[in-house]
Amino acid sequence: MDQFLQATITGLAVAAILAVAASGLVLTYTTTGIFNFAHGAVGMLGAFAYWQLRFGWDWPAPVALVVVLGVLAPLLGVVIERVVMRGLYDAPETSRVVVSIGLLAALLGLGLWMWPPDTARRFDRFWGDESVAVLGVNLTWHDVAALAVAVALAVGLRVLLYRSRPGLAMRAAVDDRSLAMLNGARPRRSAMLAWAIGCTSAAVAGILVAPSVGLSHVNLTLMIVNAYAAAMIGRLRSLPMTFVGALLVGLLDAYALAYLPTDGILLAQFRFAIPVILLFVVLLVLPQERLRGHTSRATREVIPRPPWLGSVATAAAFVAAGLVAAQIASGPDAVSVQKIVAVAIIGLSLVPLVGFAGQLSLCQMSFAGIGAVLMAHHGHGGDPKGLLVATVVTGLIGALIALPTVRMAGIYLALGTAAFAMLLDQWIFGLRDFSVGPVDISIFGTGSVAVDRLDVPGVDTDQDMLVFLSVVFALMYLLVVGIRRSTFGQRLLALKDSPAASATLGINTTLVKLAVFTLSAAMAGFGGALYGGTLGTASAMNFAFVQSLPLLLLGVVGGIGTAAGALVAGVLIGGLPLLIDVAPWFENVNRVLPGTMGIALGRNPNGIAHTLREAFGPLRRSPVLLAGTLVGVAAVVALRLADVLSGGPFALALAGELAAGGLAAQMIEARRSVRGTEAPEAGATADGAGDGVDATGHVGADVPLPLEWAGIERPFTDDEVATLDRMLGLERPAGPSLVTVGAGSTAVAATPRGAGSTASAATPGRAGNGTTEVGR
Amino acid sequence: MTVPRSGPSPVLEVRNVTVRFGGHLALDDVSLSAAPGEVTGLIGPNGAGKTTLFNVVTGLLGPQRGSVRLDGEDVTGLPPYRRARRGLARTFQRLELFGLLTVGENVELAASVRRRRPGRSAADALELVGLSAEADVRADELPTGKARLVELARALATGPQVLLLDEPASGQDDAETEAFRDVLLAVAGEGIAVVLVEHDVQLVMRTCTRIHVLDFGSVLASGTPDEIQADRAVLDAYLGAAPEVTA
Amino acid sequence: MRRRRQAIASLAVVALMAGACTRAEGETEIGAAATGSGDQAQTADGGGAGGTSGSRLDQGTFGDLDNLCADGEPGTVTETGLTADEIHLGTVTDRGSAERPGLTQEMYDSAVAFAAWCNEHGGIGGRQIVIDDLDAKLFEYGQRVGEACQRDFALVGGGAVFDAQDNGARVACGLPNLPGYAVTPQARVAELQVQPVPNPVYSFASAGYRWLQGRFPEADKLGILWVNLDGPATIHDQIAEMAETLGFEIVFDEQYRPLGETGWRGFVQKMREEGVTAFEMIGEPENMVALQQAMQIEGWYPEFIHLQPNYYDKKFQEEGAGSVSEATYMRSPFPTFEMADEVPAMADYLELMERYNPEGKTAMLGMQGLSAFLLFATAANECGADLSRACLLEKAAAQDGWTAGGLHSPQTPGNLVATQCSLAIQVTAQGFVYDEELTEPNEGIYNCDPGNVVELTDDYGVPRPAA
Repeated sequence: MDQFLQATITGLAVAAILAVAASGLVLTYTTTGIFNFAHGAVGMLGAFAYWQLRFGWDWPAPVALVVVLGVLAPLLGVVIERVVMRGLYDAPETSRVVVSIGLLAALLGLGLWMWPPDTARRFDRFWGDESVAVLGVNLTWHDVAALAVAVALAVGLRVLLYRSRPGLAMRAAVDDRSLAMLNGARPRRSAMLAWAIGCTSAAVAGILVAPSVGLSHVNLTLMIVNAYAAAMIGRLRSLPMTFVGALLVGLLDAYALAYLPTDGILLAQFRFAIPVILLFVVLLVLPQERLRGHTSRATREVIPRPPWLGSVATAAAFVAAGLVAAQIASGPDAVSVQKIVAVAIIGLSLVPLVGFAGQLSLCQMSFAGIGAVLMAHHGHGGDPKGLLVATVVTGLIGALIALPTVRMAGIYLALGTAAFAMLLDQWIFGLRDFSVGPVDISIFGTGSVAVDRLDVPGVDTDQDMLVFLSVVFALMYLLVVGIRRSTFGQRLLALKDSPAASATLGINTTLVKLAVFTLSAAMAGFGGALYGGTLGTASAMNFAFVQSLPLLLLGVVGGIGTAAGALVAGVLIGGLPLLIDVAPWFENVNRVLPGTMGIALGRNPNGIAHTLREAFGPLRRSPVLLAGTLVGVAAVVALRLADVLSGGPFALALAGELAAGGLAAQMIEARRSVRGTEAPEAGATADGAGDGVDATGHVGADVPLPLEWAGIERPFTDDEVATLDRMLGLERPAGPSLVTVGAGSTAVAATPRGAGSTASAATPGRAGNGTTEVGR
Repeated sequence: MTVPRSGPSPVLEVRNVTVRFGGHLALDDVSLSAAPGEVTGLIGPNGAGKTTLFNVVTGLLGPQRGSVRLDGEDVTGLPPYRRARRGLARTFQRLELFGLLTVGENVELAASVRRRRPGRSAADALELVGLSAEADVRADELPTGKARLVELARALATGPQVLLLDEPASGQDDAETEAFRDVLLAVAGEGIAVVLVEHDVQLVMRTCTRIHVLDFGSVLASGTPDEIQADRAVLDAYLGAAPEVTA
Repeated sequence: MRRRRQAIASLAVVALMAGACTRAEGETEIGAAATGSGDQAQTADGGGAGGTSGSRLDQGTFGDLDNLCADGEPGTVTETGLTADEIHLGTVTDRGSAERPGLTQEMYDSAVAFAAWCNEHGGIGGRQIVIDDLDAKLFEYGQRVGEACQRDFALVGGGAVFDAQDNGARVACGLPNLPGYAVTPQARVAELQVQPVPNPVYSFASAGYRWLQGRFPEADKLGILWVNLDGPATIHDQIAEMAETLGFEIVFDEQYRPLGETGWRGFVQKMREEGVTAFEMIGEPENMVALQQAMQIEGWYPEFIHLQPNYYDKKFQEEGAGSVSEATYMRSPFPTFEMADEVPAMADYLELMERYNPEGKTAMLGMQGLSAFLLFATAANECGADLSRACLLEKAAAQDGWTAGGLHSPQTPGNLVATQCSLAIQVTAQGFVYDEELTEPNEGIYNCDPGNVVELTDDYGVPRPAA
């Protein structure tokens, strides 16, 4: 009983901190529709800022607290709202998640930059370790303060939301942003207030938890995962239920520590996984979201349907690039490039899942880890059987995970997959060899396992392996192209566009999701097995949850709708750190760069690749210039091979050559357009080169005149007007509102009455959080 | 309270359906039916529950009470895709085209889901609505009027027995509306039961065999166009002070 | 004060012995080293501006290793990384890892300082040392080894957490390794390798437990709290087996979250329930501080706490360890920094860092890495003109009773067994303090006893060395 009381009281103190963190998360989500993955990072920054003032500069605690919680944290919230999140509220779920993960990465990098990690930082509790006895259990004043803060926050938020004007506006914004706007509320102000309060709550939690967790950037940032379960118990909506959730998580952990046996390998680390298991269970129990209709998009998404001929040419280019790289790279460099390619192969698994089907996954590296482990144990000596086992078994595990998760969508799916990744991280991947009945299971052993490189006849050196991996990447790329071109691929895109329409056409959306999840897991397992081979020895750290974040982040930055996104992810993840060796100052830049890219580009569904494709479009359409450029590239490569050019100048020359070709083509095309002649043949040569599809060609107008000349040389066509509207971000009247047919209908349609059809008749896409549920 | 009726036996029957959103009664004990070869009209002011009813019929929304019967069988517990495979197709008031796909792909996808059931080929469906030339255009580049036709073609390509059309004519000009009406009658002529939700009351009156009027979630009246136009309650509630139907 | 003098005196004896044993040509100027120790060490310790004339370092001498670095006639043998005027040595660290930035930075800092100092005095027999910075960043050990195979003469004074990642590539390319530390069982028993402070798999230094058993005879219920991060699982298993061999009963054996705990008090409560009287924590210093704070709040401490030498870290001290530590000890082959005025080599280490790499980090692994460089220089000098990889390994392994000039307790680089010689350090409010009473030194400041090593019999996944 004594132990129970002790556990309860220590559990309460932890629960208080969790409640503070989780309520900030919930408040931000309900008000703005954005699940802030960076919440923990904000808390981390808050703790460090407080340390700097209080202990670094020896300010009095009250002053430091006022500055951090009263000024810095709310300010950070306002800055995040204005700079990062604004304009994202109506964006698709993928963008919202990716940008928020980008923010997480950027803030974490910023923290590491500002407060280098290898310095000792003493962080004392408030009032030191003085304590007071409660029911015979010592409670520090620090813990008492945490409890008091939690209660004060609960009361404060209640008063704010129910008794104050800004609070009422925030609640209105939760219900319906567009409606709130019509009623004169100012959702932007509500959003700013929500972010300010959210960031402050994160900072409070960070400061309170830092003495226990220690001033560790990563640990403080990821501590928040325990609060996810609490927030989810509150269904991301209800603050009282969130507090209940925090109590549950805090107490469960304390009781588990006190009573859960830790004998045996399976139980030794089981306690760590309890919060994420809870999160997973809550996600499963939550009422199923109705099939949503299609989502509004600020930027038009392009997922080209590449023709086979062009795709094979692109695949050949990948192999050629691998050959060139193998010629240039020394052994160890070749291994670095191998890793880039292997990560890109894993990244390809995201293309069907995230790019085509719009299903978010934060556990792709976990699947890769499973693949690597299977390769380690079943691919001794590089036995191809290991690769097969890795692919098939990972696929099956993916299916197993998908069974419960397919019913989740959007942010819930992201959190569900994150929970799975954390489950592996905190529990499974740490397990030592054990047996289940007659089956001996070995994962990472005592920390790491040797993964033999796939044994391929004729592949001996690291350079050979690099070429081989390039070939594999090219083939996987063709597989992805094949998926895109197949009916299955069409179903995936349909699912992403409108699950509701897919279902009413007779598509079993559950089955499609299950299939793509399984396929993606198998691809990741396959890639992981190869990646493990390039590592030589794989450890759980290679495949941790935090490794999945940059993969998704940079994949989306690159353009996850095509193989290019995977390639960009591979190059950035594997390549950026290499720059640090050349330029040490880049280390800190590299810490914030991926996150910053995510913030800046994560909202563009098409990514860098599409922009590049556009830029080089004219080049592809001009056979003469294309040939010239290719000859130039070949010349540069030849110079490198003849050792006339060294690595640096070679890269510069290559980039210069390509840029010159692209620019020249653009200029020529621009001049042609001005003259308005010869343009029609452009479309004819568009296919066949490179990716081959110029999916942005605005077909429909008879003459593919550049849009900016339409209306000048001849009247606008309907299509051009539509395209212009879209480009200018004007809402297109999808509903009946602008067309007057029949009596009485116009007025009614424009201002919907009654809730029954609110969402469907109001300006499309503005209701709710960018997603309109069909049937409200 | 099933409305007694004559003519062919109904392929779609909605019986006593009630849907509640929180405190709001969206559908209150609604019953209606649609027969093959006929165009059945469903009219009512916005918020009357027309789209909600379509969502219940297609399975996107579960009713608190009542049942949906397709071809004599109760399908209330079936998920949307299984209803679709039994020959139920619809279009959406708020367009739900697959914008990432081309017009052709949109319709092909629908035809591919149909599997063994007879129905129009994708090309035929496009031909019927007059959009063969636009097959390679991305669906989200079409103006609203054409996009609605693609939704129709897509629904037809699934080889439906029952076709639910949610304001298919909005966004179309007069000529387009006429052409659309011809398509509609042709489709019904093939024995498909068409249910038409439309604000263009004149179009409904000219096209439909039977009409149901919904108001505040319940069926106000059912009958032939003539009966409806003569119905005092309908005039009061729906058409209000404008008894003359204008074009 | 008297104790200190004794320590110095006995150290001089040790130095004499070590010198006599290890110097092939017996050219050591022992007198100079011994007499110089007092004053110069103090000036270095006092933070005086570098370049104190007359310091041992100025003569190319470190501790009792005289004329370690001097100009001379380079040998004729050339191998990979060994040219007429240069020796390329690779130093592996994980300092650039994104996950744990700065990990083992101190070993690289030692390497840089050593090379700068040594080259200033003419290098190794006229050959200048070139340090090849091999940053494995946790996951790239295999690649760094691949690079080193192509350009380095040997790996010296470094180490990586995942040091089995080369899958034997180092041995395959014939690259010798004098590591600062070896982590994985595979790497600990690897070929072509001489560890200046051996970290064997099948024997474990038990001196700390033996001493504490004597001081706290009632404390026989052991609790172990550890973190499964970067694979310290092997160390955990070794400690558990060693403690049981010594008669401890393990009544509490749990792991804490790698991502940090919010409720450390729960562990304390549970240990109290289980009747823990002795305690070992295997993990990171900052978490130890948090745990001991929890002990203070709970008002409960075990009779003693034992820690591994990795806690000998300024960070541990600066984050407040002393204020909450009670009866907290560690066994160490190294004296504390504060003993610089009685241990000349320690003074030399601090001075070396102060003068040649003032930004560098001083820490235990830095010293251990330096020991590897000193071992390298000693062995290379013995090879003289015949310096080759084979000779290097042979002479390094032959250094019996290796103390790195007096920087640490006598070790047996050529024999992969745990050291019999250690000293006890207590963590106090005043910092890390040499506990002479607990140590009961019998060789200088160290206690050397065959009973200080326990042979392990469990299976650790690598072949047991032939007896």
